[in-house]
Amino acid sequence: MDPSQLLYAKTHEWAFVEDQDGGKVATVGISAFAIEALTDLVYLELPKVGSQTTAGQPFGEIESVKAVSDVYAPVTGEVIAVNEELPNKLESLNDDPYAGGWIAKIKITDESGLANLLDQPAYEKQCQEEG
Amino acid sequence: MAVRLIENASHRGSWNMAVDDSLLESTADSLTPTLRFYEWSAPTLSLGYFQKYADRWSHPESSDAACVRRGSGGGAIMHDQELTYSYCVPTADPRSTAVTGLFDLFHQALIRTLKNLGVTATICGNPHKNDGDAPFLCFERRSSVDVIIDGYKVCGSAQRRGRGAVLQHGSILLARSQKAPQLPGITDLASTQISSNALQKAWLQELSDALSLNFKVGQLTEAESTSAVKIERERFAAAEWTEKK
Repeated sequence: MDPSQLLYAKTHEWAFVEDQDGGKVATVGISAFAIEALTDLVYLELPKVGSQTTAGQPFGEIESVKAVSDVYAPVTGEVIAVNEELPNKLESLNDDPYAGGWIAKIKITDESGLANLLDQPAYEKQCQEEG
Repeated sequence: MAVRLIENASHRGSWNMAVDDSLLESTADSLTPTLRFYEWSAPTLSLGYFQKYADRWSHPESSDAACVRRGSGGGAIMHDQELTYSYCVPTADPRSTAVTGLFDLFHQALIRTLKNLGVTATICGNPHKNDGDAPFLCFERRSSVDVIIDGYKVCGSAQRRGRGAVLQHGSILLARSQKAPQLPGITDLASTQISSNALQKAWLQELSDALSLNFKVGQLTEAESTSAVKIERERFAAAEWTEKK
């Protein structure tokens, strides 16, 4: 996926939103900036298919170099698919965070939160400020 | 920057972990860092967040010890003859951004402290990558930021990164525990006695210099204590949490 076409949460998750069956579905993952800061990844716990997500709330967990971090849902909705191969191929997050590194697909049930997501220039500005 | 310093006595493992998590939550709101030193009232095995509970039985020496599951990563630690620290810092502090940067600050300050006390310790550097599963015990694992004496790890740290704050806690192995006899401590390796209090005092000075922080002795707030009671009951003292993986 083209990073310039994605939306980003302030907590460093990305979302690719597309129309599907009359609604919107977001494919979500973790940004390259966050992956680089986390360095060597060792565990990823995926959300469960069918679980509900709330924008800004944790929906997964990841461990790198003895550091455990929550992964926050960028959108509100229902998890309809997860990248089941990813926990066993964590290098995909480093190699290809915006395609092979996708975590889940979420059917959006409340679109109001999308306005809080950043476009790429705004997200890059935030990353520069964080150093 | 002012940092609250909490110097606690020994506590049970579930309380120690609950206080650290309570501080992680409060730091995101207060934006005031807290450094805490503590010990353990009984030998306690802590599992890394993602470790399997059943794996504790692979280490028979600690099988009769209390057990808690940390919120942080890494391997299992037998908390017994050690000094433990935790540091909660807002993510607004740029030094919290890189995972290894915060490890390095504390560990390099510890190495300088030990040098001043006559003990030579080093950073692990680039460890040999083990192709198999990581050892159960944290102190039998190696990461580039660990503190080493004569090839033995004497200090390791782990983090839980929350929204708005980072918790880093770690253990300094002072002496060999009967419940983890394969792990020598500083006293065993350096043939010198360093008390927990003496190490804490000297390390604090080095940390003050390294972080450019002014430490001010304080206590948990009432809200933090109340939160820790709840966190302990719901998570760290609950079998559902300890045995959940």
